[in-house]
Amino acid sequence: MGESISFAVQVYFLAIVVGCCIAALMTGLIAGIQRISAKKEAVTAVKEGEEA
Amino acid sequence: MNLATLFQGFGTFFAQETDIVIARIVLIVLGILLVWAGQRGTLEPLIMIPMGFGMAAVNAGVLFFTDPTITGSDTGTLFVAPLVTETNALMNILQIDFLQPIYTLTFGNNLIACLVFMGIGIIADVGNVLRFPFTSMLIALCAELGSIVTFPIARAMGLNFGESASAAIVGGADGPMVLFTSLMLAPELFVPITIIAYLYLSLTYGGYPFLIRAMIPKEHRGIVVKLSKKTSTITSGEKVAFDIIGCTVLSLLFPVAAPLFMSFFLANAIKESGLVKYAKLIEDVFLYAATFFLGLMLGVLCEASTIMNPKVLILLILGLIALTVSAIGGICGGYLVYFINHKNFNPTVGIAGISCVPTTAKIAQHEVAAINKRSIILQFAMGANICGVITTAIITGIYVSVIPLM
Repeated sequence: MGESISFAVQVYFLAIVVGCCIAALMTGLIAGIQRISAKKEAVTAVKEGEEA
Repeated sequence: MNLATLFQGFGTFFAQETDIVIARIVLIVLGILLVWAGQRGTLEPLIMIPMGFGMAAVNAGVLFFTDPTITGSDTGTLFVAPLVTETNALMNILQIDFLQPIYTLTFGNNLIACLVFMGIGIIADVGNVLRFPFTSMLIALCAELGSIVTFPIARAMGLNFGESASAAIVGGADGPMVLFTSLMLAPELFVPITIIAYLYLSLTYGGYPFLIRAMIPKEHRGIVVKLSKKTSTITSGEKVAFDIIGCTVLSLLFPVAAPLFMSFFLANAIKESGLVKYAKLIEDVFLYAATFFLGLMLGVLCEASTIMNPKVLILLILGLIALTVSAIGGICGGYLVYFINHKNFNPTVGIAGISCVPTTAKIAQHEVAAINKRSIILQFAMGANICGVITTAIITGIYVSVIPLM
């Protein structure tokens, strides 16, 4: 019984670690993509301004 | 020719042992009840109607075999012979049994679970997860409590590691995942485990609202969540980027569950990329064909001998424990976020951490709307719901990877 509880706790701990990493990955990914998009938009706006 | 030989379905009642005959009659009645309950909408009709037909037909359509060496018994059916491993027997069965090719080509290799998972991927919107990743993940992880707590209980009740993990994963409330785990870790029990899982999942509509009302006071259920101005919209490109990166990372971590991850994320990426014809193919054909055959096959595999297994009663108890503990864990997760967010969160969302897409999210919204019509929590609930699919897949991956090594 003790062995099973210990195993289950380890599985849960591992799941929490992986889950948090996936959540961090989501946050980082979205922040990164949105930053790149914002930069691109800013560059385009500057170019359009120069052309005008 | 006597009547027993002419009407063999009835005739076999007199040739089989009494307990088997009683079990067959119970299953025939149960099959009819499932069809009735599915037709009325009390249980999920997409699964229950084919399952009920299968269960009734396979227990009624038992006949005498003239060559018992094929099946190992002098009675049997022409539907399917599960887990045939002897090559000659397999070839004989393949030629005559009507559902055998479906079983061999889709259940033996888990294709059926992947097809259903693909269907979930096509209807899922990962946008809500990406908008609130930590909130969704926290709730989903709390709602996995049943998948963890049930494991040592199952061991204490005499199940081996594989069987215990398969029973525990019912707490994740994800049908294809239960099927996948039990086929990998407890193939001899996959029929009762999956049937129990789907039966209980159908009953969540009826049971969970009572649990919500018992655990969450009315004033908390009616909370309107104020969104911060920072909350941005998620574009299709961002969703596809997450799909491919999430799929790759999870496949790297748990290669044994990689087919499931790929099925889910691929289907989601297809939808987000606007591949309309593929999306229609997956949603209209793959999902419905897989769901139909899943229900039908589970029904026909539910022969009298299946429920005669003494482990079935244990599985019934464990399934109930797993889903109840997961629901309690999910609601506790909802309260955790409620306190972390300085009471600007509706704890009812917690129930949606149970990955029964989209049932639990609908239940959460329904219960909230019954108290306060202005409170819209569906976006949080769907986020937690989809995250629940991911966390169940993670726990499945851990169980399936580690247990065979023990």
